[in-house]
Amino acid sequence: MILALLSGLAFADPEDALGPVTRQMYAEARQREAAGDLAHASALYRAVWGNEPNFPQALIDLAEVLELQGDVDGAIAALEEAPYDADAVEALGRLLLRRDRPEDAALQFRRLQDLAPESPIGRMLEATALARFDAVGAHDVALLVLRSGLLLPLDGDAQRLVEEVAAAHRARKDAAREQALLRAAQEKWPDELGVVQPSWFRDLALRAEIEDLARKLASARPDPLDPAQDAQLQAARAAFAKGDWSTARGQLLALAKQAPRNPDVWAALADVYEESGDPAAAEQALQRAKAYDPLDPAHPGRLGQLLACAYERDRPFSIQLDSGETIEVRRPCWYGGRQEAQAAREIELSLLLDPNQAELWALLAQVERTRTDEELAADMGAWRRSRAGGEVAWRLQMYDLDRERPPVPGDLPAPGALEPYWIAEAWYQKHNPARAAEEVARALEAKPDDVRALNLQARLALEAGDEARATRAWEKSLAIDPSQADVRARLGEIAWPERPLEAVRLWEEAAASGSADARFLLAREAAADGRLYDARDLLDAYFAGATSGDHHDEALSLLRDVERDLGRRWFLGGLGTLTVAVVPAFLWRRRRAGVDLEAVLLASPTSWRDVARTCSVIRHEVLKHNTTTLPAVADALERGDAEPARWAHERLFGPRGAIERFRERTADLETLARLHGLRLNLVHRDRTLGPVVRAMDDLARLERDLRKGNRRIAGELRALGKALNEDGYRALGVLVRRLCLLPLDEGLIDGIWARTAAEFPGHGVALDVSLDERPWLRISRGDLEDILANVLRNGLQAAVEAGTKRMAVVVASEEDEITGLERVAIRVCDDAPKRISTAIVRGRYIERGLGLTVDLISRNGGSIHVEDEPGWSKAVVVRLPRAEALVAMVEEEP
Amino acid sequence: MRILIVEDGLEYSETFGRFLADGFAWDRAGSGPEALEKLGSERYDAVFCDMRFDRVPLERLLGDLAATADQFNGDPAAARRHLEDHQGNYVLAAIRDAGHAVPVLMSYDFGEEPRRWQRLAQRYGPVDYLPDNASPQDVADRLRGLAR
Repeated sequence: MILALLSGLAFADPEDALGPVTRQMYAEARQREAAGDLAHASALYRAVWGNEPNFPQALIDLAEVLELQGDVDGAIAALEEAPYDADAVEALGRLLLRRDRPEDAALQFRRLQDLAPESPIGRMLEATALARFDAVGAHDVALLVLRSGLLLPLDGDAQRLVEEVAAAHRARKDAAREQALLRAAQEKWPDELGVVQPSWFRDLALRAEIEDLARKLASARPDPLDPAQDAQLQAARAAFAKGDWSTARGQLLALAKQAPRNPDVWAALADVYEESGDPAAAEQALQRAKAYDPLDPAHPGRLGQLLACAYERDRPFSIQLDSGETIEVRRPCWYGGRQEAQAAREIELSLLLDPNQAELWALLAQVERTRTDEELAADMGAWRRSRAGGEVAWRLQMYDLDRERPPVPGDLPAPGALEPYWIAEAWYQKHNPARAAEEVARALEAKPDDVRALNLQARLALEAGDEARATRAWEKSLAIDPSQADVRARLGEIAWPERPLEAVRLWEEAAASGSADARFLLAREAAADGRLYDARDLLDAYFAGATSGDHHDEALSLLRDVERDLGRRWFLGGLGTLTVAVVPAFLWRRRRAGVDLEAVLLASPTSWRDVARTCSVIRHEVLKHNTTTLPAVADALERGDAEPARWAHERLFGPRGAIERFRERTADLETLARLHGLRLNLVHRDRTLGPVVRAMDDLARLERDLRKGNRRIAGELRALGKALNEDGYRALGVLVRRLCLLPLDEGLIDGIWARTAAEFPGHGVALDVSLDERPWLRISRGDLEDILANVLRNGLQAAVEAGTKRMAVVVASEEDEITGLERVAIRVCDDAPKRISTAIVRGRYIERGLGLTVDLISRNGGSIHVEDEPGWSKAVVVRLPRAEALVAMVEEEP
Repeated sequence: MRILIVEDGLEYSETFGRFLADGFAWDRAGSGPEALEKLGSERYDAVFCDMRFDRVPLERLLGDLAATADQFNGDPAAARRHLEDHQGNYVLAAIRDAGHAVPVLMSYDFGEEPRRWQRLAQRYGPVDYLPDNASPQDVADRLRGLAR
C-alpha cells in the first residue's frame, strides 16, 4: 500500500515487471483464490515469489491465503521473507495487530517508518498498536500524526487511530489526554464548509464535549448574589466605567470574599485588572469566571480577546545574541501574542456556546491568520531574521510568542466526577432532550431519590408536553425535599388554569418560601383579575428579591402594563361608551385611511434600509424575468402561439410565482409600517407603489385567460407590461435612489465636533477638517452623527489623556477596482499613543470599545479600522458606501 | 451568433430558448469559474452576464471572502452577500484577467450609477449593460450591436 501510494505514478502496475509465464501464474493464483481454492492459490503464489523475488505482492497475497487457511505462523513467516519491502512490513504489522500481538505489531510499524519516512501511515498504525498497551505512548505518536501538515483522509485507519487511542484514555479515565487528542483531530479534520465529517467522528467529539461539560457543571457550584451584593457589583461597575479603578477594585475584592465563586464578580475584576495594566491577574480572574459558570460564552470570549489583544507595558527582555553578547531591552508587547493558540481555543469555545457573535468570528479569523506556533516560529527563525530586520528584531518577536503564563489559581474547582445526572444536564444544555432523558433515567436508576435528577426529568417531560409525568416527578422531588419553592411554583403552573385554586395555593406557598417566579405568577393572576394594586405590590416584591429569573422580561412588561392601566383606569370606563358610538364611522374611515411610504419613512427614518431593500427586491427579483416578457407573450398570442402564455402563467402564478412574491413583499412593507404604529395604504395612498400594486392586481385577474392562452388579452398584457416594466420599474428606482441621501460636508463635521467637544471643557484640542469634494452617503443623518460623534469623542478623550493638542478629519473617496463601487473614508487622526487596534475598537469591552457604533456602521454597510497615518500617531477610519444617486436631481429637491 | 450566458439560474437561458431561438446559439455557465472554463475551450461572439449570483455555493463564487469581510467589520455573512450581489463584476474582471477580449453585456442598471459605469467601461471594455426590465428583444438587439 505504501509503495502504491509513493510510487504509484512512476510504476502504474507492478505486475508489468513480471515475465509472461509468471504473470499468467499470478493471474491463475488470483482466480483460484477468488474461487475458494486456497491450497492451489497458495502454491501458485509461492511459485510466483520463487520466480520473481522483486514482486513481494505475491508474498502478501500468499500470507492472506495462509491466514484464511488458519496458518497464521505460515503467514507471518511468509511476510518476514521481505523485511525491506514497506508493503510487506505493513501487512505483517496489520496481521500481528489482528492476531492481538500489539507489541510485535508496533515494532513492525516502527520499521515501516524507517522504510517509508515520508508516509504518515507507519505512525498512525504504530499509535493504534500502542493504544492496546501503552496509552501515553500512543497519545504522543497520535499527536505527531495529527499535528503534521500531511493531508490524511478521514478513513478506516484514521478512524481506528482516533477511536482506539481515545478508548485507551477513557479506560484509564484520562480525560485531559482524550480531550487533547480529540481537539487535535478536530483541527486536523475540521467541520468546515465542504467537508463532511463521518458520524462516528462527530459522535466521538460530541461525547467528549458532553462529558467535559458534565464535569465542569458538576464542579461549578456558583455563589449567587443577594440584592445588596448585586447592588454593590453594579456600583463597582459604575466606578470602573468612570475610570475610578481603585474604588472598583476595592469593592469587587470585598465582594469576592463574600461570594468567592460568583462568576460575574470575577469577570468584572478581570476588566479592572486589565485596564490597570495587569493582564496576568485578568487572565486568572477570567479562568475563575469560566470555572464557576461554564455555560456563559462571555467568559471564554473575553479571555480569548485578552490573549489576542491585550497590551503589556514595558516588559523587560534579556536577549542573548548568537555572538554571545547579552543585551537588556524594555519595551511594550502583546500580552498573549496575537499568535496565541490558546486565544483561538478560548474564542472557539465561546463561539461554540453562542455562535451569534459576529465580532468574535472576526477576531478568530484575525488570530488564526496571524497565529504561529512557537515550534514553527523557531523553524522559521532564519527566514524571519533575513526579512524582519535582523537578529534583535527576530528574537524580540520570539519573546512575544513566549508569554509567561500565570499559574492556574490553586483553589479552582477540579473537574467533577462523571455522574449520570451531570451528563444528563449537559445533554439538556446542548439541546438534546432525548439523550438527556436517557441519562436522567440512568441517574434515577442508580439513585432514585436524587432531587436534581427528578427535577430535570420533570423539566424534560414538561417540554415534551407530558404534564402528568412532569407532575409526578416534581411531586416526588417535593416529597423528598419540601423546601424547594421553585418546584412548588412549577407545579402551580401545571395546575393552572384547570385547577386555579390549587395553583394559587402552590404559588402562595412558594412565594412565602422566597420563590420570585411564584410572586410573578401571582401578580399576573392579580392583574388578570383586575386587582392592579395587588399586582403592583407583588411585582415590587419580585424585583426586590430577584436580579433575574425565568419571568424577568415578562415581569417588566407586566409592571409597565399595570402602571399604565392604573393611570388610565378612570378613563377606560368612559371610553367604552364612546367606542360604541364611533365604531361604524371608524370602520368607514379605515377603508380610506392610512399613509404612504413617505409617511413611514418620516415616522421612522432608520427604516429606510428595509424599505430600500424591499423595493429593490420587487424591482430586481419580482419584475425581472417575469413581467419583462409580457409584450413578447402578447406578440406570441397574436400569432396564435399560446405556449409562451402558459409558460408565463407558470412564472407568475406557479409555486413561489411572481404574484405571490410581490404580495409577500408588499405585506413586509405593511408590517414595517405597523411596527411604527402606522397603517400603510399602498393602493390608495402611495403614488409610487400604488400603480404597481394595482397593475399586479389586474394581472392576477388575467390568471385564467393566461393559462388558456386567450388571444384577446394581448393588448391588456402589453399595457400591464408597460405599467410594470417601464413606469413601475422606473418609479421604484427613483424611490430607492432618493432614500436617505446625505451630503457629507465640512459644516456637518464641524457641527458634530462642536457638540462633542463641549463634553470636554477646556480641552484645547484643535480639529482640522479636510474634504476634497462633497460626497453623498446613503445613511440617515442620525446614524452618521452618532457614528462620527462617537469616533471623535474617543479620539478627543485619548488626546486629553495624552495631553496632545491637535486632531484632524480627512475625507477621501476610495474605489473598488473590481466592482467600481466607491467608499468614503473618514479618517479621524490623532496624536495620542497608539494603544488601540482594529480588534479593540470593534470590541465591546472597556471604554475604547465602540460596540454600538460598530453595529451602526455595519448596518450601513461600512467598516471601521485603526490604521497608520503619516504625520499622526494613528487614524480611526470609518468607511461608508458612497452613493451615486442622480445627484443633480436630489440637489434640486427642496 | 454564439453567446455564453452566465447566470446562476435558468431564467435567461429559458427566455432565450423561448423568444430568441432564431439567430442565436448559446451555452450556459452557472458560475464564474464555469464561465472561464467554457471561454477557455470554446469561441463565443459575446457573453451575457447576470449580476446577482445568490444560488451558487460559496466555493464557486469569485472573490476573496476574507478580504471582503474586512470591508464589513469582519462579518462573513455580509461579505458573502456582497460577493453574491456584485458577482457579475467579479466574473467580468476574471474574464479580462484571463485575457479574453470577448464583448460582455451585463444585466444590471448601471444607468443609475454613471460614474461607476464610466470607470468599469474604461477598465473592462468592450462591455455594455442592459437594465433588469429589458425585454428579450432588447437583449437580442444589444447583443448583436455589441458583437458587431
